[in-house]
Amino acid sequence: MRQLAATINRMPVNTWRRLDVNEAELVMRGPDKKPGAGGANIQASGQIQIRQNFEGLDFGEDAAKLFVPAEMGAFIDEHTNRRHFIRIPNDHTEQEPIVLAMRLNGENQVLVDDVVIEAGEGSNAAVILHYTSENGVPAYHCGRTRLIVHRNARVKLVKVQMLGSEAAHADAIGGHVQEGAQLDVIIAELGAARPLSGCNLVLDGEGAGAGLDVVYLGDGRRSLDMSYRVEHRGRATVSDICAKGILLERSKKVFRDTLDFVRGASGSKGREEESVLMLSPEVRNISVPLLLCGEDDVEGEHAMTSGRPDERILFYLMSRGINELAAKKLLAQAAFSSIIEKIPDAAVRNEILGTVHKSIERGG
Amino acid sequence: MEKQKTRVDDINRERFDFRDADKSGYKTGKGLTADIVTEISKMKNEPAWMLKHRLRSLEIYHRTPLPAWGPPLGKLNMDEIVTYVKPDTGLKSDWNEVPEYIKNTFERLGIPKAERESLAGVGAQYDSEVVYHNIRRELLSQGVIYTDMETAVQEHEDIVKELFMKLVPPQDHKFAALHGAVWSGGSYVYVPEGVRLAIPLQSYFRLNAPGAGQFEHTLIVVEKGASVHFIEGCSAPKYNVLNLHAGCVELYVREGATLRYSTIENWSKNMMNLNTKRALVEKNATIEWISGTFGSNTTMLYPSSILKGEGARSTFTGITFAGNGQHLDTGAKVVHAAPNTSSTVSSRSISKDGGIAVYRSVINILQNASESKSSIVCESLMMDSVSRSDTIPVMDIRNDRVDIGHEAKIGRISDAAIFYLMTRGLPEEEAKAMIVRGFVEPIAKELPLEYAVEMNRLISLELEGTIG
Repeated sequence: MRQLAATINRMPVNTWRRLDVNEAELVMRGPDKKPGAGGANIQASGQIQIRQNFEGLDFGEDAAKLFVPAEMGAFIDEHTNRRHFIRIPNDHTEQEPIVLAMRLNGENQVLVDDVVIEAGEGSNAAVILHYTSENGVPAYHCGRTRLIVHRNARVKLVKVQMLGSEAAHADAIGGHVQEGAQLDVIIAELGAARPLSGCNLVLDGEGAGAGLDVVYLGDGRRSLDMSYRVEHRGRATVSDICAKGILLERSKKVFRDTLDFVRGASGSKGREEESVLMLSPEVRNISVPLLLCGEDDVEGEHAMTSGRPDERILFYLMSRGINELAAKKLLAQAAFSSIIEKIPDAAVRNEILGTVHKSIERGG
Repeated sequence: MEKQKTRVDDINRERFDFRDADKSGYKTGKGLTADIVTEISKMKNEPAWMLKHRLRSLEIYHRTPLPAWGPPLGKLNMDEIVTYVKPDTGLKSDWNEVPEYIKNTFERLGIPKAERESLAGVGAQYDSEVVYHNIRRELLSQGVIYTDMETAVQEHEDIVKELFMKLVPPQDHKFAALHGAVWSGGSYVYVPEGVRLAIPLQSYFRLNAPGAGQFEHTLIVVEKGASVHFIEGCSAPKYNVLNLHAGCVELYVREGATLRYSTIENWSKNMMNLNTKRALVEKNATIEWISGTFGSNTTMLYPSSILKGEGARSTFTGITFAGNGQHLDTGAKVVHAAPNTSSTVSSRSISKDGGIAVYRSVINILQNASESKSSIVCESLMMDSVSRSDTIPVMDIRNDRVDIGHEAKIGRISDAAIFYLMTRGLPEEEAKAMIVRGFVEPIAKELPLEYAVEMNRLISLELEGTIG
């Protein structure tokens, strides 16, 4: 097995080193030879162009590079066993979500995937990437998803990571959003031992918009490391980062979110918000919300709240005959629901809630 | 139509920029060597432990790298800095005995007037040494000590030896080590149990010599149930060479005590201000930081509070004004290390004409700090698009029974607010001025009246056109 060691999720600007938040260390054991394709299931209409190579594709600037160090990029290039180029034609609206379900099992333990989604002008589609693994399998996922959203297109990317608690997982998303286009990314980080997740969205064109919704779950000794950023480059761009987290047992998380208004992004607005439900005295909850601003004609806001469920609400629910465990499940569901509701697949929504409920039963 | 912008004038530095001829009685050579450090210690006739501390700090300085974060510090060349400049006078407690040119300097800065009218005690440091220290007699009779650090090392050696650089050890960072090696001047304050000072004490630090460093050390102990307000003012004339300020403030706030520590810093724009301030706050005690950062070329300053005792409280209220050529990296640190502790941080910044204002903070909630609360509010006003304003907070929470809230906002003056004021009959210019003054109001109202007036004068407004 080959070892990949790299610094990942580096903050756009550093702070005190002793806080140990400036970056994360990625140590993954890679396959000696190119692994097999693994189990995957793709659902899409015939209108969608799907191919297994990136021939002729000019990335230009690659937003994913911010959180994908050169070593990891080279590793993905070399070891990819699932490469998908998905193109949504101009002005096409895909009625049903395009679903790529990737399940790792004893025979296919390794997944190195590299996905590019290009949304043509005026197109509209949702893409769901769903990662699962069999319990007890030391699964391994390293992936990259890049998006190019052309003028006036609308794309929703849903990335749900529900790997088993022994799995290794490192993932990065990069997106460029052109004039008048909208890219909404929903990330659910619910599994793996030490998930590393990054997402960098660049609003290039005037009036471009981005939504970045994140739900994460820490249970057992899971240690999550997440770095998300939206760069406002074009005029009158709009972004909204919203994260909801639940931490249980002895879990730990580092959540870095950045709104970066570069000079020239006049008339832009951005908002970032994180709320964390802490359900154990032994969790560790680190938040690093950055607001970087080189343009005066903008509005940037950040808000973060953290703590246990409100005792009064718990008391109220229990006074209505709901036991404490059920009340906690209800509160957790309420915390996640505003984001989960945006996932255009009922089965995935139920699976996420089921996972959260099970975790609370175990450790809440 | 091109948007016009509200303009806020630069800080008016006229009152601070005058300079005296260099009449130092003695100064070390440039650079930083063991010989220079030994020489400083010898000049001060220090006990052997202090010399040992200085030399150990020097070793730590040499092996500690520059911070890998924050403003660039590459232009600081310690080989060009004179670390010790002794004025041609000793410490006086009678204003009339202070040399005329130094007296004139502090007269122009308004220090004696303030002492007469509103202060319980005053210390005045000129370059590396305190030249004047005085305290009202009634406070002396209550056991209050307010003196320069050199005198404290000699006359209160036990307590100084116990506390000096224990809160900010030389290993803390490179400039704490530098301070430990070459510190000079500063104030020692001791407020006995139960003594509550109704009016403030003030120390004023003036650095006159070009190419010099100022490394004053402030050590304050507020005993059980006592209270005091300490004010620190700093300024220097502008030179073409770099000056360095690496002071250190250590505050011990004992059970049930209250300490308010106010700073109006207006160093000249050739100053590197790399200062360290830390407070240890015991059971049910309170530290209140009021911080105004207006001057300097580069500032790195994050007053920190260690809430060690149950029920300890910390408040930080700060404003930073970054103009042309300035990179001001300021903020606060709080460690909640006991149950039921609480902290609030309220920070505001204005950046203009290419100035860079950075708010940087860390809130640590340790595992035993259950039922603690922390509220952070940070607002930044950008006056143009050649300036920068960054917010870099970290929250590290290790207990679930806490209530943490953080809010940050970046932007310019709100069009809606101006419009509202205009519908209430205010002319546009007045509306804008009111909004900017309102922006700094939370800080101004925490300062003693004369300092609030001073701060408002520092921020003079010149408004033109419409808000675009």
